[in-house]
Amino acid sequence: MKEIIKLSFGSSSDNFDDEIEMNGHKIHIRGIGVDYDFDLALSIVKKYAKECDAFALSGFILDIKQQNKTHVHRMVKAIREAAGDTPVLDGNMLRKAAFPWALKKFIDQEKHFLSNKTIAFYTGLVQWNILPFFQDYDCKLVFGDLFFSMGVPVSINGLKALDTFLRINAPVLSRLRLKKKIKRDFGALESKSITMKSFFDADIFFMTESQLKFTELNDLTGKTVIIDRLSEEHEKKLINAKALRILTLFPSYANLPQLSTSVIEAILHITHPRGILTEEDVLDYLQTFEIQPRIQTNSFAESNIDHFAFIIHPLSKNQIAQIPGLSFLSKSPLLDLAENLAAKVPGHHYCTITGIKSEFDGKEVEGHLYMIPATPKMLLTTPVEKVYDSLSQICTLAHKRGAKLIGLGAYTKIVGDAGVTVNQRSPIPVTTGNTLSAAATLWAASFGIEKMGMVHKKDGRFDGTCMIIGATGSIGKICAKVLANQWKKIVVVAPRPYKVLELVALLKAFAPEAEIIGTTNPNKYSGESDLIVTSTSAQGEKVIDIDLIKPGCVVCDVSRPFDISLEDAAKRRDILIIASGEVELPGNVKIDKTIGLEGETVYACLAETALLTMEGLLESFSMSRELSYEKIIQIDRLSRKHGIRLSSIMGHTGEIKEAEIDLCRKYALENLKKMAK
Amino acid sequence: MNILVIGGTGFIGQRLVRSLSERGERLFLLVRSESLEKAKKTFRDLPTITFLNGDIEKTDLLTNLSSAGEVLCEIECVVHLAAVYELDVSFQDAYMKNVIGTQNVLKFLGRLVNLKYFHFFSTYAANQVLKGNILENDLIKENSHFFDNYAKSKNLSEHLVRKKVSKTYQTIIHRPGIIVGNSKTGQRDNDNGPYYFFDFIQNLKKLPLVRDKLKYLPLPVQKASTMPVVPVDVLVDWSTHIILNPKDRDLSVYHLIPKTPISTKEFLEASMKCLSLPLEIICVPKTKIFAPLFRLLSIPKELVFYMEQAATLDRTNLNTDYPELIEPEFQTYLPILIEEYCRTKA
Repeated sequence: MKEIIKLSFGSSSDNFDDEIEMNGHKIHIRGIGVDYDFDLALSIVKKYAKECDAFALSGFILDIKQQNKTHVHRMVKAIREAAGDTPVLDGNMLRKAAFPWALKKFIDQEKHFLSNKTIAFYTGLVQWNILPFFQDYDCKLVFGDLFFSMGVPVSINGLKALDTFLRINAPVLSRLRLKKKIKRDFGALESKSITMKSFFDADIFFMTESQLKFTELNDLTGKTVIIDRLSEEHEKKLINAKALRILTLFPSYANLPQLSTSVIEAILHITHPRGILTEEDVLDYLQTFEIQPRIQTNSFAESNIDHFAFIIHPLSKNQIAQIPGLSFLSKSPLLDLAENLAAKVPGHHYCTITGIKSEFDGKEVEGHLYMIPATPKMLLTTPVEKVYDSLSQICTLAHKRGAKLIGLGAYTKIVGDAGVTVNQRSPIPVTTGNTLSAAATLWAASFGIEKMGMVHKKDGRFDGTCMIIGATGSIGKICAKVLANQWKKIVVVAPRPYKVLELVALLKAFAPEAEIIGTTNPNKYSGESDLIVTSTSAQGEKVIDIDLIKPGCVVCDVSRPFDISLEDAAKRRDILIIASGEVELPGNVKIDKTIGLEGETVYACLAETALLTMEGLLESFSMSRELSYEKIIQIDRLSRKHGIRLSSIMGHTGEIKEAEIDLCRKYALENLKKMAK
Repeated sequence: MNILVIGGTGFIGQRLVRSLSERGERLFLLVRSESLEKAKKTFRDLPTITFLNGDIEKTDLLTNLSSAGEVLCEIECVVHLAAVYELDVSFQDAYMKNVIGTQNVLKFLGRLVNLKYFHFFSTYAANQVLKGNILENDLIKENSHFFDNYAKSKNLSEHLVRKKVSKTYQTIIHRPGIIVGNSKTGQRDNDNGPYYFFDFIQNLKKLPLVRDKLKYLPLPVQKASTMPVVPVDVLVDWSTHIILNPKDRDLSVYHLIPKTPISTKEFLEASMKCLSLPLEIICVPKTKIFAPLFRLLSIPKELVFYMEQAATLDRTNLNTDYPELIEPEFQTYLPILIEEYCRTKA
């Protein structure tokens, strides 16, 4: 039988001895903790060097790498010398490959994990095997080495500074005598030291289990911890420090908790046919035993409610004058100046939405609304980079407040690349909310059709014509797909004939029961259409002759700026022109400031952010200007599940009340009668 | 039963080997090669003993495996009482012999295919706490504070034994109290533990003021402090009985202590009486004044623990499993212990 001695510099409470079988070898592994007694460690190595096949080290200061130099700690050096020919493994080779790999695997699942975050290392001294990994991500590194190794409460910011620190101190550190009593109390330091503020403010704390033994933790409320492995005892320690999430890179084998990286390396070494372990062998091992990183989220009584954030802005300069204390500006020539100045004010927390509660599982969420005081004009004229910056700053603020997802309201999702850059720079996922906006518009259309009562269903379909203008665009195509399953006849309109033909073919395959017609001229079919959805990028140019539209028709104008001008809309009081649908959230919702809508009604894009948080679907669900049919269907299903409903339909100038719809219907019926005569 | 005794040449071990041998058990003794001659001499009157050459500090325990191969299959019971016992032992020594030694023994048990019972000799001090009622199944955490390295090393080794409790053999942990000399002859091997008190009393007697004038002696002794004293012959009788009559359980732990341990105050007073210094002890709180005084009277600091500790030791397991065990009255054997002490000191 082969024999491995795992020598832990730490507490003897981890002592164990066990037999395992691996690669066809029977191996006896014993763990010996020397209680920080180096002489004892050395005498054990001397005594058992000839009797065991390998030593696995744990809790010692391992090699310190600094540029091209490697400083071996004198204790490790002495142990290696005392061990003679018996191999002494420290697990570094395995960690170098396994840790970044595990972390990468996790980031593949949670893309924002490192974005724009600050990662604090209690000590970066011996982490050279993972530090380069972080350079590929948009994150900051901060190190507690000065305090951890020397008791000086100053944080080291960035890799460069760490390198300078090591250049000066590595020779001293590699001679440092570790004792139990140098347990570093980061907790006691937290409130006192401003020189370590950047360390304590970090979002993610990286540590190894052996470092944790020497550390009294700071308050980790809301923070994430990355750790190499985690015993029950240390898990408790992290939970006591209120760590919200713990990512374990190298989860313990359930039945063999003592298999640390150094022990596995020792096993690989002694069972290796050639007796020399290479990086290749380590890679083989990692590929054979799929090691999965493990994430756990700890729930604390006060954090059962998940938070989301949403960014709003004034829709006109007049809204700036509505800010308390600025009302004097309303008719003043200074208003333009105020508009300019306000746009330079950084974003801030505006109000909170409480009481949102899922009808499905009672999951409660809370929303924080952030205001960026720039009007659409200012947002569109300010250099796009500056807008990105201020939006990313708000994302960081929201993240610190505990938000897990952030939505972009109104023009903030129109600027530049429609959320893509902001999403990349944000520490939490960003969504534009466009999917639920589109879904809500369709709900509004269907609500309008129902209320107008001009067309009825036959065999489950509306027995009439539905026209989609701009049907080859992102929203248009989705509307066409959704509506093709609801209407008997579909007319798709787009300026380029080949695209129209392509779409007609697609829709025919998609909804074989509907009659599909393609055209480049909307006026040809506007006289027979009962529903017109217009979603173009005509930038305010006329796309349809308003006079030709059939009385009683419901027009859904999704384009911004609108395709139907205010003047045109005023001309036809017998058609119902809908701009969007706004929704209400489930629960006893309270909004502590006005967001420009009546009662507790909220923007559909805000509702999407709340809905995704309720569902726990914390991802950039709607991004850029593209929408997907599958996502519309999904958001429609989720809305029903959690209880998000259409609460009002909006026209060009505000909410459309039922009385207005009744009036519109009256005019339509009269005009239809006239036409029949 | 075929019994392997590890640590059979020590203070308790020697007596236990004799006791088991007298009852007709077939014994194997693990002895280091350098002690082999001495062991053979010690047990020359016991022909049933087989000596195995081995060392618990070796990972393979048996240094001469080839000759022992067949024997290993025969062993049904292992009694492990090899340990270094000195209150002032260094952590390194205690660790190497008591902790790693036990780890080696545990590994060795895996090779005994017919093993049924494993008896491990721990100590009541494995739970070295000052207060509370300590149950036999209790074992304080490894990183607790210990007053001496011996207690710490025994705590660590008992933890190892408990971690390895097996389904294939039964584990029985013997936790003796403070072991004193033979209750009938007073014979002992060393002057550890309570014998320090005898030294202390003898030193006090040398002070004319104390000897002639004092009636009361103020000492920082906790009123609730007890001395779980057990004479070595009684301990050996009890352990022999337990080894030969094991209960059917994966793990049994027994406090091998008197039913009603004597209080430290009573122990001191009775000892002083026997040593012709009949003073009454007044329990006073521990103050700084005692430290130089104790140094002056050459009281080892380990004794302070005996005076301070006020924890009670429970022995329900022992009472329930072995109600038949008997013990002599402390008052009857104390004079014998002291007589032998005085004889050897003289």
